Amino acid sequence: MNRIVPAPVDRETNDRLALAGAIAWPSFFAAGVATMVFFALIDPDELFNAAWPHILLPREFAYTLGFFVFWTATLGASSFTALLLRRPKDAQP
Amino acid sequence: MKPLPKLVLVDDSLYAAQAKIYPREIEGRFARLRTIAVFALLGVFYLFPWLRWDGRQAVLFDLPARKFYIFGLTFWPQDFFWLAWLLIIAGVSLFFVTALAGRLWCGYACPQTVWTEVFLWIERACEGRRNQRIKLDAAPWNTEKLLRKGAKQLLWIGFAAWTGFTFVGFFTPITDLARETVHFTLSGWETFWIVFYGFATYGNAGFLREQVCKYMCPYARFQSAMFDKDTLIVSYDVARGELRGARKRNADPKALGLGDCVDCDACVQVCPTGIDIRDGLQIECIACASCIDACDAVMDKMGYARGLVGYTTENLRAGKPLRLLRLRTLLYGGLLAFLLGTFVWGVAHRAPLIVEVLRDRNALYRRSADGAIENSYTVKLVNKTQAAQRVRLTVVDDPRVTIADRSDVALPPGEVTSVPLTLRAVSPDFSGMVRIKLAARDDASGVAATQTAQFFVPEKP
Repeated sequence: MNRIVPAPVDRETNDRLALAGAIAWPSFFAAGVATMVFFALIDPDELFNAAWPHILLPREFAYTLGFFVFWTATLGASSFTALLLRRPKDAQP
Repeated sequence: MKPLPKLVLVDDSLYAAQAKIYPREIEGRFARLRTIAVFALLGVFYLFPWLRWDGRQAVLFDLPARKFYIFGLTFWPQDFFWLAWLLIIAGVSLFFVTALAGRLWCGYACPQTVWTEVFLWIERACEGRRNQRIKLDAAPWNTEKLLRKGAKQLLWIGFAAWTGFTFVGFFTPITDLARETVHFTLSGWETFWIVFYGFATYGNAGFLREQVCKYMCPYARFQSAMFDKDTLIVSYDVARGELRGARKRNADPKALGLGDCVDCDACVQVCPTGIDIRDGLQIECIACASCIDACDAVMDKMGYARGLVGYTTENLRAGKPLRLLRLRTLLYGGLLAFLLGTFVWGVAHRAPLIVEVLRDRNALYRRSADGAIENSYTVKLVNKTQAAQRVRLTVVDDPRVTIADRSDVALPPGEVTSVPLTLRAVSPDFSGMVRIKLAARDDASGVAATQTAQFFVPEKP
Protein backbone atom coordinates (compact mmCIF):
# COMPACT_ATOMS: atom_id res chain seq x y z
CA MET A 1 0.00 0.00 0.00
CA ASN A 2 1.27 3.43 -0.90
CA ARG A 3 1.19 5.70 2.14
CA ILE A 4 1.62 9.42 2.02
CA VAL A 5 4.16 10.38 4.62
CA PRO A 6 4.80 14.01 5.57
CA ALA A 7 8.32 15.33 5.32
CA PRO A 8 10.16 15.72 8.63
CA VAL A 9 10.82 19.17 10.00
CA ASP A 10 14.46 20.07 10.42
CA ARG A 11 15.54 19.16 13.90
CA GLU A 12 17.36 22.31 14.94
CA THR A 13 14.37 24.55 14.26
CA ASN A 14 12.19 22.15 16.18
CA ASP A 15 14.54 22.09 19.18
CA ARG A 16 14.86 25.84 19.28
CA LEU A 17 11.11 26.31 19.07
CA ALA A 18 10.51 23.82 21.85
CA LEU A 19 13.05 25.52 24.10
CA ALA A 20 11.61 28.97 23.39
CA GLY A 21 8.16 27.65 24.27
CA ALA A 22 9.38 26.06 27.47
CA ILE A 23 10.88 29.39 28.51
CA ALA A 24 8.10 31.68 27.31
CA TRP A 25 5.01 29.89 28.51
CA PRO A 26 5.76 29.32 32.24
CA SER A 27 7.21 32.83 32.54
CA PHE A 28 4.09 34.24 30.87
CA PHE A 29 1.91 32.35 33.29
CA ALA A 30 3.91 33.42 36.36
CA ALA A 31 3.87 37.04 35.20
CA GLY A 32 0.09 36.87 34.79
CA VAL A 33 -0.41 35.59 38.32
CA ALA A 34 2.04 38.13 39.76
CA THR A 35 0.28 40.96 37.92
CA MET A 36 -3.10 39.85 39.24
CA VAL A 37 -1.94 39.63 42.84
CA PHE A 38 0.02 42.86 42.70
CA PHE A 39 -2.75 44.98 41.22
CA ALA A 40 -5.44 43.40 43.35
CA LEU A 41 -3.59 44.73 46.38
CA ILE A 42 -2.29 47.97 44.91
CA ASP A 43 -4.27 50.50 42.93
CA PRO A 44 -1.88 51.90 40.29
CA ASP A 45 -3.54 55.33 40.63
CA GLU A 46 -2.62 55.48 44.30
CA LEU A 47 0.84 54.08 43.66
CA PHE A 48 1.61 56.74 41.08
CA ASN A 49 0.07 59.45 43.22
CA ALA A 50 2.38 58.53 46.07
CA ALA A 51 5.52 57.84 44.07
CA TRP A 52 5.45 59.98 40.93
CA PRO A 53 2.64 62.52 41.31
CA HIS A 54 3.66 64.42 38.16
CA ILE A 55 3.08 61.38 35.92
CA LEU A 56 -0.46 60.87 34.67
CA LEU A 57 -1.00 57.27 33.62
CA PRO A 58 -4.35 55.59 32.96
CA ARG A 59 -4.86 52.39 34.93
CA GLU A 60 -5.00 50.27 31.75
CA PHE A 61 -1.52 51.40 30.79
CA ALA A 62 -0.27 50.79 34.31
CA TYR A 63 -1.64 47.22 34.23
CA THR A 64 -0.08 46.58 30.81
CA LEU A 65 3.24 48.07 31.90
CA GLY A 66 3.15 46.10 35.14
CA PHE A 67 2.49 42.85 33.27
CA PHE A 68 5.43 43.34 30.95
CA VAL A 69 7.76 44.38 33.78
CA PHE A 70 6.83 41.15 35.55
CA TRP A 71 7.20 39.15 32.35
CA THR A 72 10.63 40.63 31.69
CA ALA A 73 11.70 39.48 35.16
CA THR A 74 10.24 35.97 34.90
CA LEU A 75 11.47 35.57 31.30
CA GLY A 76 14.94 36.54 32.47
CA ALA A 77 14.84 33.99 35.28
CA SER A 78 13.54 31.20 32.99
CA SER A 79 16.17 32.00 30.37
CA PHE A 80 18.97 31.87 32.92
CA THR A 81 17.70 28.53 34.18
CA ALA A 82 17.66 27.21 30.62
CA LEU A 83 21.19 28.52 30.08
CA LEU A 84 22.50 26.97 33.30
CA LEU A 85 20.85 23.63 32.61
CA ARG A 86 22.36 23.40 29.14
CA ARG A 87 24.61 20.39 28.93
CA PRO A 88 28.12 21.13 27.66
CA LYS A 89 27.65 19.13 24.47
CA ASP A 90 24.51 21.06 23.59
CA ALA A 91 26.63 24.19 23.49
CA GLN A 92 28.91 22.75 20.84
CA PRO A 93 28.00 23.41 17.23
CA MET B 1 5.24 -8.20 7.22
CA LYS B 2 5.30 -4.50 6.64
CA PRO B 3 8.18 -2.35 7.78
CA LEU B 4 7.91 -0.85 11.26
CA PRO B 5 6.17 2.51 11.78
CA LYS B 6 8.30 5.34 10.51
CA LEU B 7 8.61 7.51 13.57
CA VAL B 8 11.92 9.34 13.41
CA LEU B 9 13.77 8.81 16.65
CA VAL B 10 16.70 11.05 17.36
CA ASP B 11 19.57 10.19 19.74
CA ASP B 12 19.50 11.73 23.19
CA SER B 13 18.31 15.21 22.33
CA LEU B 14 15.92 16.77 24.82
CA TYR B 15 13.32 16.95 22.09
CA ALA B 16 12.75 14.42 19.36
CA ALA B 17 12.63 15.61 15.81
CA GLN B 18 9.10 15.38 14.62
CA ALA B 19 7.47 15.33 11.25
CA LYS B 20 4.78 17.95 10.76
CA ILE B 21 1.52 16.40 11.91
CA TYR B 22 -1.48 16.31 9.61
CA PRO B 23 -4.29 14.93 11.76
CA ARG B 24 -6.77 13.01 9.63
CA GLU B 25 -10.40 14.04 9.88
CA ILE B 26 -12.49 11.67 11.96
CA GLU B 27 -16.12 11.06 12.73
CA GLY B 28 -17.49 9.14 15.65
CA ARG B 29 -18.91 9.28 19.15
CA PHE B 30 -16.01 11.10 20.76
CA ALA B 31 -15.43 13.45 17.86
CA ARG B 32 -19.09 14.48 18.20
CA LEU B 33 -18.59 14.98 21.93
CA ARG B 34 -15.64 17.25 21.25
CA THR B 35 -17.59 19.21 18.66
CA ILE B 36 -20.29 19.76 21.28
CA ALA B 37 -17.64 20.85 23.79
CA VAL B 38 -16.14 23.26 21.25
CA PHE B 39 -19.51 24.87 20.58
CA ALA B 40 -20.43 25.04 24.27
CA LEU B 41 -17.13 26.45 25.49
CA LEU B 42 -16.46 28.83 22.63
CA GLY B 43 -20.13 29.81 22.76
CA VAL B 44 -19.61 30.86 26.36
CA PHE B 45 -16.46 32.73 25.43
CA TYR B 46 -17.81 34.58 22.40
CA LEU B 47 -21.34 35.25 23.68
CA PHE B 48 -20.94 36.05 27.37
CA PRO B 49 -19.52 39.55 26.89
CA TRP B 50 -22.65 40.45 24.93
CA LEU B 51 -25.11 39.41 27.64
CA ARG B 52 -26.68 42.15 29.76
CA TRP B 53 -27.55 42.06 33.43
CA ASP B 54 -29.22 44.90 35.34
CA GLY B 55 -28.38 47.40 32.61
CA ARG B 56 -24.69 46.52 32.46
CA GLN B 57 -22.52 43.87 30.84
CA ALA B 58 -23.24 40.56 32.59
CA VAL B 59 -19.62 39.41 32.77
CA LEU B 60 -17.17 42.27 32.93
CA PHE B 61 -13.78 42.42 34.61
CA ASP B 62 -13.73 46.18 34.73
CA LEU B 63 -10.05 46.86 35.24
CA PRO B 64 -10.20 50.66 34.86
CA ALA B 65 -12.85 50.85 37.61
CA ARG B 66 -11.26 48.01 39.62
CA LYS B 67 -14.52 46.07 39.87
CA PHE B 68 -15.43 42.61 38.56
CA TYR B 69 -19.02 41.80 37.59
CA ILE B 70 -20.14 38.19 37.20
CA PHE B 71 -23.89 38.24 36.63
CA GLY B 72 -25.42 39.26 39.98
CA LEU B 73 -22.11 39.33 41.83
CA THR B 74 -19.74 42.25 42.12
CA PHE B 75 -16.17 41.70 43.25
CA TRP B 76 -14.08 44.52 44.69
CA PRO B 77 -10.31 44.59 45.14
CA GLN B 78 -11.01 43.70 48.79
CA ASP B 79 -12.64 40.48 47.54
CA PHE B 80 -9.55 39.38 45.68
CA PHE B 81 -9.17 36.67 48.27
CA TRP B 82 -12.31 35.01 46.93
CA LEU B 83 -11.14 35.18 43.33
CA ALA B 84 -7.89 33.52 44.39
CA TRP B 85 -10.05 30.96 46.20
CA LEU B 86 -11.96 30.40 42.98
CA LEU B 87 -8.71 29.72 41.13
CA ILE B 88 -7.74 27.18 43.80
CA ILE B 89 -11.15 25.54 43.34
CA ALA B 90 -10.50 25.36 39.59
CA GLY B 91 -7.13 23.72 40.29
CA VAL B 92 -8.52 21.13 42.70
CA SER B 93 -11.40 20.38 40.29
CA LEU B 94 -8.79 19.63 37.65
CA PHE B 95 -7.01 17.24 40.06
CA PHE B 96 -10.29 15.57 40.94
CA VAL B 97 -11.37 15.10 37.34
CA THR B 98 -7.89 13.90 36.39
CA ALA B 99 -7.85 11.27 39.14
CA LEU B 100 -11.27 10.03 38.01
CA ALA B 101 -11.24 10.39 34.28
CA GLY B 102 -7.69 11.08 33.22
CA ARG B 103 -6.95 13.84 30.76
CA LEU B 104 -10.55 14.70 30.03
CA TRP B 105 -9.53 18.34 30.33
CA CYS B 106 -6.87 18.00 27.61
CA GLY B 107 -9.09 16.13 25.17
CA TYR B 108 -12.23 18.22 25.37
CA ALA B 109 -11.96 21.41 27.42
CA CYS B 110 -8.47 22.90 27.21
CA PRO B 111 -8.49 26.15 25.22
CA GLN B 112 -5.51 24.81 23.29
CA THR B 113 -7.55 21.80 22.12
CA VAL B 114 -10.72 23.76 21.53
CA TRP B 115 -9.16 26.52 19.46
CA THR B 116 -6.91 24.12 17.60
CA GLU B 117 -10.04 22.20 16.60
CA VAL B 118 -11.56 25.32 15.06
CA PHE B 119 -8.32 26.19 13.28
CA LEU B 120 -8.27 22.64 11.90
CA TRP B 121 -11.85 23.00 10.63
CA ILE B 122 -10.80 26.15 8.79
CA GLU B 123 -7.73 24.40 7.43
CA ARG B 124 -9.85 21.48 6.18
CA ALA B 125 -12.37 23.82 4.57
CA CYS B 126 -9.59 25.57 2.63
CA GLU B 127 -7.02 22.85 1.96
CA GLY B 128 -9.03 19.68 2.00
CA ARG B 129 -8.53 16.34 3.69
CA ARG B 130 -5.30 14.97 5.15
CA ASN B 131 -3.81 13.56 1.96
CA GLN B 132 -4.75 16.65 -0.01
CA ARG B 133 -3.05 18.83 2.61
CA ILE B 134 0.16 16.80 2.52
CA LYS B 135 0.19 16.92 -1.27
CA LEU B 136 -0.53 20.62 -1.28
CA ASP B 137 2.37 21.32 1.07
CA ALA B 138 4.71 19.22 -1.07
CA ALA B 139 3.55 20.77 -4.34
CA PRO B 140 5.30 23.78 -5.91
CA TRP B 141 3.62 27.17 -5.52
CA ASN B 142 0.91 27.82 -8.08
CA THR B 143 -2.28 29.80 -8.21
CA GLU B 144 -4.37 27.15 -6.51
CA LYS B 145 -1.91 26.67 -3.65
CA LEU B 146 -1.68 30.44 -3.23
CA LEU B 147 -5.48 30.79 -3.17
CA ARG B 148 -6.01 27.92 -0.75
CA LYS B 149 -3.23 28.95 1.62
CA GLY B 150 -4.23 32.62 1.34
CA ALA B 151 -7.85 31.88 2.15
CA LYS B 152 -6.82 29.81 5.15
CA GLN B 153 -4.55 32.54 6.49
CA LEU B 154 -7.21 35.18 5.94
CA LEU B 155 -9.81 33.15 7.86
CA TRP B 156 -7.32 32.26 10.57
CA ILE B 157 -6.30 35.88 11.07
CA GLY B 158 -9.92 37.02 11.03
CA PHE B 159 -10.93 34.43 13.59
CA ALA B 160 -7.90 35.24 15.76
CA ALA B 161 -8.70 38.95 15.61
CA TRP B 162 -12.28 38.28 16.64
CA THR B 163 -10.92 36.18 19.51
CA GLY B 164 -8.63 39.00 20.64
CA PHE B 165 -11.50 41.47 20.38
CA THR B 166 -13.72 39.23 22.50
CA PHE B 167 -10.95 38.75 25.06
CA VAL B 168 -10.54 42.50 25.52
CA GLY B 169 -14.34 42.70 25.64
CA PHE B 170 -14.23 40.91 28.99
CA PHE B 171 -12.16 43.76 30.41
CA THR B 172 -13.68 46.81 28.81
CA PRO B 173 -17.39 47.14 27.88
CA ILE B 174 -17.69 45.27 24.59
CA THR B 175 -20.34 47.53 23.07
CA ASP B 176 -18.01 50.51 23.50
CA LEU B 177 -15.20 48.40 22.11
CA ALA B 178 -17.28 47.51 19.04
CA ARG B 179 -18.15 51.17 18.48
CA GLU B 180 -14.52 52.20 18.82
CA THR B 181 -13.45 49.45 16.41
CA VAL B 182 -15.94 50.59 13.78
CA HIS B 183 -14.85 54.23 14.15
CA PHE B 184 -11.13 53.39 14.38
CA THR B 185 -10.89 55.07 17.77
CA LEU B 186 -9.53 52.15 19.80
CA SER B 187 -7.11 53.26 22.47
CA GLY B 188 -3.50 52.15 22.33
CA TRP B 189 -3.75 49.54 25.05
CA GLU B 190 -6.99 48.10 23.63
CA THR B 191 -5.40 47.72 20.20
CA PHE B 192 -2.32 46.22 21.76
CA TRP B 193 -4.17 43.54 23.73
CA ILE B 194 -6.46 42.63 20.82
CA VAL B 195 -3.41 42.11 18.62
CA PHE B 196 -1.48 40.35 21.40
CA TYR B 197 -4.24 37.88 22.26
CA GLY B 198 -5.15 37.40 18.62
CA PHE B 199 -1.54 36.68 17.80
CA ALA B 200 -1.28 34.23 20.72
CA THR B 201 -4.39 32.39 19.48
CA TYR B 202 -3.08 32.28 15.92
CA GLY B 203 0.34 31.10 17.03
CA ASN B 204 -0.86 28.48 19.50
CA ALA B 205 -3.84 27.05 17.61
CA GLY B 206 -2.72 27.56 14.01
CA PHE B 207 1.01 27.10 14.17
CA LEU B 208 2.26 25.39 17.37
CA ARG B 209 -0.70 23.08 18.09
CA GLU B 210 0.42 19.80 19.65
CA GLN B 211 3.84 21.27 20.42
CA VAL B 212 2.18 23.37 23.13
CA CYS B 213 0.98 20.17 24.80
CA LYS B 214 4.27 18.37 24.30
CA TYR B 215 6.84 20.99 25.14
CA MET B 216 5.13 23.90 26.87
CA CYS B 217 2.30 22.62 29.02
CA PRO B 218 3.16 22.08 32.69
CA TYR B 219 -0.08 20.15 33.29
CA ALA B 220 0.97 17.52 30.74
CA ARG B 221 4.10 16.94 32.82
CA PHE B 222 2.56 16.64 36.27
CA GLN B 223 -0.84 15.12 35.47
CA SER B 224 0.66 11.65 35.88
CA ALA B 225 0.95 12.40 39.62
CA MET B 226 -2.86 12.27 39.80
CA PHE B 227 -3.04 8.99 37.92
CA ASP B 228 -3.49 5.57 39.47
CA LYS B 229 -4.55 2.17 38.19
CA ASP B 230 -8.23 3.16 38.29
CA THR B 231 -7.88 6.31 36.23
CA LEU B 232 -9.69 6.37 32.91
CA ILE B 233 -7.18 6.20 30.05
CA VAL B 234 -7.23 5.60 26.33
CA SER B 235 -5.57 2.29 25.70
CA TYR B 236 -4.96 -0.40 23.11
CA ASP B 237 -5.89 -3.96 24.00
CA VAL B 238 -2.58 -5.65 23.32
CA ALA B 239 -3.80 -9.15 24.13
CA ARG B 240 -6.63 -8.83 21.63
CA GLY B 241 -4.83 -6.87 18.94
CA GLU B 242 -1.53 -8.73 18.56
CA LEU B 243 -0.12 -10.03 16.34
CA ARG B 244 -1.24 -7.14 14.21
CA GLY B 245 -1.29 -7.50 10.47
CA ALA B 246 -3.20 -6.84 7.27
CA ARG B 247 -5.69 -9.42 6.12
CA LYS B 248 -8.65 -9.77 3.77
CA ARG B 249 -12.00 -8.83 5.24
CA ASN B 250 -13.37 -12.35 5.24
CA ALA B 251 -10.15 -14.04 6.30
CA ASP B 252 -10.07 -15.89 9.61
CA PRO B 253 -7.46 -14.17 11.78
CA LYS B 254 -7.01 -17.28 13.93
CA ALA B 255 -6.04 -19.34 10.93
CA LEU B 256 -3.52 -16.66 9.97
CA GLY B 257 -2.22 -16.45 13.55
CA LEU B 258 -3.23 -12.79 13.79
CA GLY B 259 -4.94 -10.67 16.44
CA ASP B 260 -7.72 -8.17 15.76
CA CYS B 261 -5.47 -5.23 14.83
CA VAL B 262 -5.44 -4.95 11.04
CA ASP B 263 -2.52 -2.50 11.24
CA CYS B 264 -4.33 0.06 9.09
CA ASP B 265 -2.57 2.96 10.84
CA ALA B 266 -5.86 4.85 11.14
CA CYS B 267 -5.26 5.45 14.86
CA VAL B 268 -1.87 6.97 14.09
CA GLN B 269 -3.12 9.17 11.27
CA VAL B 270 -5.91 10.77 13.28
CA CYS B 271 -3.70 11.45 16.31
CA PRO B 272 -3.27 15.21 16.78
CA THR B 273 0.01 14.66 18.67
CA GLY B 274 1.35 12.13 16.20
CA ILE B 275 1.78 9.12 18.48
CA ASP B 276 0.90 5.45 18.10
CA ILE B 277 -1.48 4.48 20.90
CA ARG B 278 -0.48 0.85 20.39
CA ASP B 279 2.91 1.67 21.95
CA GLY B 280 1.16 2.11 25.30
CA LEU B 281 0.24 5.11 27.45
CA GLN B 282 2.42 8.04 26.47
CA ILE B 283 2.82 11.50 27.95
CA GLU B 284 1.97 13.03 24.56
CA CYS B 285 -1.51 11.47 24.61
CA ILE B 286 -4.08 14.17 25.31
CA ALA B 287 -6.87 11.57 25.56
CA CYS B 288 -8.85 13.11 22.72
CA ALA B 289 -10.14 9.62 21.81
CA SER B 290 -9.78 10.23 18.06
CA CYS B 291 -7.98 6.88 17.81
CA ILE B 292 -10.97 5.20 19.49
CA ASP B 293 -13.31 6.63 16.87
CA ALA B 294 -10.92 5.66 14.08
CA CYS B 295 -10.45 2.11 15.34
CA ASP B 296 -14.16 1.59 16.04
CA ALA B 297 -14.95 2.53 12.45
CA VAL B 298 -12.42 -0.01 11.17
CA MET B 299 -13.65 -2.71 13.56
CA ASP B 300 -17.22 -2.07 12.31
CA LYS B 301 -16.03 -2.45 8.73
CA MET B 302 -14.22 -5.69 9.55
CA GLY B 303 -17.17 -7.03 11.49
CA TYR B 304 -15.12 -7.24 14.71
CA ALA B 305 -16.24 -6.03 18.12
CA ARG B 306 -15.51 -2.39 18.96
CA GLY B 307 -13.12 -1.38 21.72
CA LEU B 308 -9.74 -2.65 20.47
CA VAL B 309 -8.70 0.90 21.32
CA GLY B 310 -10.95 2.27 24.03
CA TYR B 311 -11.47 4.12 27.25
CA THR B 312 -10.54 1.84 30.12
CA THR B 313 -8.45 1.70 33.27
CA GLU B 314 -5.33 -0.26 33.99
CA ASN B 315 -7.23 -2.42 36.49
CA LEU B 316 -10.12 -3.06 34.06
CA ARG B 317 -7.66 -4.18 31.40
CA ALA B 318 -6.20 -6.58 33.98
CA GLY B 319 -9.68 -7.95 34.64
CA LYS B 320 -10.12 -6.31 38.03
CA PRO B 321 -13.28 -4.43 39.03
CA LEU B 322 -13.60 -0.66 38.63
CA ARG B 323 -13.18 1.31 41.85
CA LEU B 324 -14.45 4.88 41.78
CA LEU B 325 -14.30 5.45 45.55
CA ARG B 326 -10.70 5.33 46.63
CA LEU B 327 -8.48 7.39 48.91
CA ARG B 328 -7.33 9.68 46.12
CA THR B 329 -10.77 10.54 44.75
CA LEU B 330 -12.26 10.85 48.25
CA LEU B 331 -9.49 13.25 49.30
CA TYR B 332 -9.76 15.41 46.19
CA GLY B 333 -13.56 15.26 46.34
CA GLY B 334 -13.69 16.17 50.03
CA LEU B 335 -11.25 19.03 49.55
CA LEU B 336 -13.25 20.28 46.60
CA ALA B 337 -16.53 20.15 48.54
CA PHE B 338 -14.94 22.05 51.43
CA LEU B 339 -13.49 24.73 49.14
CA LEU B 340 -16.77 25.14 47.27
CA GLY B 341 -18.81 25.34 50.47
CA THR B 342 -16.49 27.93 51.98
CA PHE B 343 -16.59 29.94 48.78
CA VAL B 344 -20.38 30.05 48.59
CA TRP B 345 -20.69 30.91 52.28
CA GLY B 346 -17.92 33.50 52.15
CA VAL B 347 -19.19 35.26 49.02
CA ALA B 348 -22.73 35.34 50.39
CA HIS B 349 -21.51 36.82 53.67
CA ARG B 350 -19.25 39.52 52.29
CA ALA B 351 -19.47 42.87 54.10
CA PRO B 352 -21.84 45.11 52.14
CA LEU B 353 -20.27 48.26 53.58
CA ILE B 354 -16.67 49.09 54.45
CA VAL B 355 -15.59 52.06 56.56
CA GLU B 356 -12.03 53.31 56.70
CA VAL B 357 -11.00 56.20 58.92
CA LEU B 358 -7.81 58.07 58.01
CA ARG B 359 -6.43 60.73 60.34
CA ASP B 360 -5.48 64.02 58.77
CA ARG B 361 -1.75 64.29 59.09
CA ASN B 362 -1.39 68.03 59.71
CA ALA B 363 -1.98 68.18 63.43
CA LEU B 364 -2.74 65.81 66.27
CA TYR B 365 -5.50 68.06 67.60
CA ARG B 366 -6.89 71.57 67.34
CA ARG B 367 -8.40 73.79 70.02
CA SER B 368 -11.60 75.45 68.87
CA ALA B 369 -12.81 78.90 69.88
CA ASP B 370 -15.03 77.52 72.63
CA GLY B 371 -12.17 75.56 74.18
CA ALA B 372 -13.14 72.11 72.86
CA ILE B 373 -10.52 69.77 71.37
CA GLU B 374 -11.07 68.73 67.76
CA ASN B 375 -9.45 66.01 65.56
CA SER B 376 -10.08 65.80 61.85
CA TYR B 377 -10.26 62.72 59.63
CA THR B 378 -11.15 61.55 56.17
CA VAL B 379 -13.73 58.78 56.17
CA LYS B 380 -13.82 56.42 53.17
CA LEU B 381 -17.10 54.58 52.78
CA VAL B 382 -17.33 51.73 50.29
CA ASN B 383 -20.91 50.87 49.38
CA LYS B 384 -20.63 47.40 47.88
CA THR B 385 -24.39 46.99 47.41
CA GLN B 386 -26.23 47.77 44.19
CA ALA B 387 -28.58 50.20 46.02
CA ALA B 388 -28.03 53.76 47.21
CA GLN B 389 -27.50 53.97 50.97
CA ARG B 390 -27.84 56.87 53.37
CA VAL B 391 -25.72 56.11 56.42
CA ARG B 392 -25.59 57.94 59.74
CA LEU B 393 -22.17 58.23 61.36
CA THR B 394 -21.99 57.86 65.14
CA VAL B 395 -19.35 57.37 67.80
CA VAL B 396 -20.19 54.15 69.58
CA ASP B 397 -20.33 53.92 73.39
CA ASP B 398 -18.23 56.97 74.15
CA PRO B 399 -20.21 60.06 75.16
CA ARG B 400 -17.00 62.08 75.65
CA VAL B 401 -16.37 62.34 71.91
CA THR B 402 -18.99 63.62 69.49
CA ILE B 403 -19.20 64.28 65.77
CA ALA B 404 -18.89 67.98 65.11
CA ASP B 405 -19.79 68.53 61.50
CA ARG B 406 -22.05 65.93 59.96
CA SER B 407 -24.32 63.04 60.53
CA ASP B 408 -25.73 61.65 57.28
CA VAL B 409 -23.75 60.64 54.22
CA ALA B 410 -25.36 59.64 50.92
CA LEU B 411 -23.61 56.68 49.27
CA PRO B 412 -24.33 55.99 45.60
CA PRO B 413 -24.55 52.29 44.70
CA GLY B 414 -21.26 50.52 44.14
CA GLU B 415 -19.14 53.58 44.80
CA VAL B 416 -16.42 54.72 47.16
CA THR B 417 -17.32 57.98 48.94
CA SER B 418 -14.80 60.07 50.88
CA VAL B 419 -15.98 62.68 53.38
CA PRO B 420 -14.08 64.89 55.82
CA LEU B 421 -15.09 64.39 59.44
CA THR B 422 -14.36 66.32 62.61
CA LEU B 423 -14.68 64.78 66.04
CA ARG B 424 -14.71 66.91 69.19
CA ALA B 425 -14.44 66.50 72.94
CA VAL B 426 -15.88 69.47 74.84
CA SER B 427 -14.19 69.07 78.19
CA PRO B 428 -12.02 65.99 78.01
CA ASP B 429 -11.45 64.23 81.30
CA PHE B 430 -8.67 62.13 79.76
CA SER B 431 -5.27 62.88 78.34
CA GLY B 432 -3.16 61.60 75.48
CA MET B 433 -4.90 59.20 73.13
CA VAL B 434 -8.18 57.40 73.30
CA ARG B 435 -9.49 54.78 70.89
CA ILE B 436 -12.99 55.39 69.64
CA LYS B 437 -15.26 53.31 67.46
CA LEU B 438 -16.99 54.94 64.52
CA ALA B 439 -20.16 53.35 63.19
CA ALA B 440 -21.91 53.91 59.87
CA ARG B 441 -25.44 52.60 59.54
CA ASP B 442 -28.34 52.90 57.13
CA ASP B 443 -31.39 52.46 59.33
CA ALA B 444 -33.67 51.76 56.38
CA SER B 445 -31.65 48.88 54.91
CA GLY B 446 -29.81 47.83 58.05
CA VAL B 447 -26.47 47.96 56.24
CA ALA B 448 -23.82 48.82 58.81
CA ALA B 449 -20.10 48.76 59.52
CA THR B 450 -17.73 50.00 62.21
CA GLN B 451 -14.10 51.03 62.36
CA THR B 452 -11.80 52.14 65.17
CA ALA B 453 -9.88 55.43 65.15
CA GLN B 454 -7.56 57.34 67.41
CA PHE B 455 -8.55 60.62 69.08
CA PHE B 456 -5.84 62.83 70.56
CA VAL B 457 -6.07 65.44 73.29
CA PRO B 458 -3.23 67.37 74.99
CA GLU B 459 -1.33 65.56 77.73
CA LYS B 460 -2.28 66.78 81.21
CA PRO B 461 0.73 68.30 82.92
